[in-house]
Amino acid sequence: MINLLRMELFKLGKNRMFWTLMIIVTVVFALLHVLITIGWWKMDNMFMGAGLEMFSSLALATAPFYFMLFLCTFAGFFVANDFTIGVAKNIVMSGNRRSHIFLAKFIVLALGSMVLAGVCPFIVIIGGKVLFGFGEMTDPSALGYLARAVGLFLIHMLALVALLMLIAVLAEDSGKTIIISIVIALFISVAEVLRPLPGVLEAMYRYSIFHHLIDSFRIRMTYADVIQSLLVGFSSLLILVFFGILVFKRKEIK
Amino acid sequence: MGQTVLATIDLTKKYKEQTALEHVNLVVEKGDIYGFIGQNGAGKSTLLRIVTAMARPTSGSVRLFGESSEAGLIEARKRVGAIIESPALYPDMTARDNLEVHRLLRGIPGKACISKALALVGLQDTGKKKAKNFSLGMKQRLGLAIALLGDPELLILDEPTNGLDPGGIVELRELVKELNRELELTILISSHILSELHQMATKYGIIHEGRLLEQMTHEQLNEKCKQHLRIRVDDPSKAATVLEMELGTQDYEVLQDGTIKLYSLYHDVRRVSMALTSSGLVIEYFAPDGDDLESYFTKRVGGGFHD
Repeated sequence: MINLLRMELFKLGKNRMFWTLMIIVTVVFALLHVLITIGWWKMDNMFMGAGLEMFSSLALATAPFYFMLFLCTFAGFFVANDFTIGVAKNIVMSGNRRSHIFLAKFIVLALGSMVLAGVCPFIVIIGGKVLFGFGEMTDPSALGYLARAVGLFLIHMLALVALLMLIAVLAEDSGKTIIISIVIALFISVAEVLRPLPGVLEAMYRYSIFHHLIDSFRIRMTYADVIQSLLVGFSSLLILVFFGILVFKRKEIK
Repeated sequence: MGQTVLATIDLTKKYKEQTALEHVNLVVEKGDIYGFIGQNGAGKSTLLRIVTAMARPTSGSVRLFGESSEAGLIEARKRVGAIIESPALYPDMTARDNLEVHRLLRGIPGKACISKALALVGLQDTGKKKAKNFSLGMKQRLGLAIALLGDPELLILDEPTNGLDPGGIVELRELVKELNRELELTILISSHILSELHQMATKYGIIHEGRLLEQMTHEQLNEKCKQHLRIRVDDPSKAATVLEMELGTQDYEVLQDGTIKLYSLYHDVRRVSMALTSSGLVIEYFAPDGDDLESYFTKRVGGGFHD
């Protein structure tokens, strides 16, 4: 397992798409952050309400279409591409358990996704504050809210990464993975606008990682809300990883 | 009999209605260069894919280095290097980086093995050139270097000469022989090009429409293909005396049904027939016989063998 992780980390470091996405994410965030800070872009969001104005650009992270777009591109090029170019067979025939191969890939994909979705924006925000004094924080005590929100967001994002990994393993093609994921992201975006959804669809959506991913940044959450969010996140993560391993174990590698 | 490195036991693979492999019992022993021969679609790659865990058998099992349990096979596969169908490379990485991925995967300490593998296949000077810019021959050689990383005990090569020019084919052949000779590496090599296999294999398996028709050593194959005069007379023992006393040859064989296979004097048909008839023997059958490799395989697979 350690060997597999070291190999996947080496591959991540050499993955051009990962570096390209990192540059894009950083530039987009930096631009957005500057525009919001100088007041060119007026936006009301949960961070303003919480007294964490300097984190306003993070509101972009709550737009499902935005982060699905670069996470699925990353998953497509990091996971599905192994099947497209045929290197998956080298890994499978190397004398490692398929469950370990899947888990190593998932862990490194999750790490890369966290860098793209979390680390890059925070570096921009904190770097902006330290270097240029960008942004304000009228209520530093609200940092507890931020920690809770980001924590929940990361758990649901891990579940989402597990879903993308499952799609990539099933699709075996980076293009198909990206298209399927974008279609899902479109559905989620439409569903979020059309809420409340009719009948059972609303219930399904309320207990989905997609809803909880966006809901993670809600300012007021009771303990019951937090526990429900954690349960949805962890159970979805476990189920999706379990199914991913099952599919990968049964898969004939071409 | 040598130590069995790889054995398949009644290996069967079905895809819906189509049977790709049917009760295949293949045995590769330590030190063999096993030539796995069959037409395109005969089932060679399917068998190799099952051996290397890329596909699962419908029934039957694989025994690798004496291991046949799932956990045992996973461990045993660490002792195998393989190229199945085509070399799988990271196109945006250099040769060295491609090897580094597999060094990490196999947990090989130190980077000396990378230089050694590159030197072995003649790719030590490719520098920063990316694999996507390699020629087909270079890709094949890089695939071989990856397969050789970690000093495997069994090397599986599926159609390794695909896309190689004549010079590349000769180089690969010499390399395979050298690996077998110097490192005592057991090699299972599949191909549909008979002449290529005949120059390096020490053992053969012929597969046709998913069934393993025959396994034999190089010597047995040569014996089967040896040109001879096939003679059937009314008194085989007297004929044997005539061959030895009058024609002065012991290079013959009397088969169980009394048929004599005379390997010498193949081009002296007239002299042989004269000697036999003048000794009062009645010749029932007298004809030159023997195959070249290609026609032997053509006969075995029912006339359908071609490149």
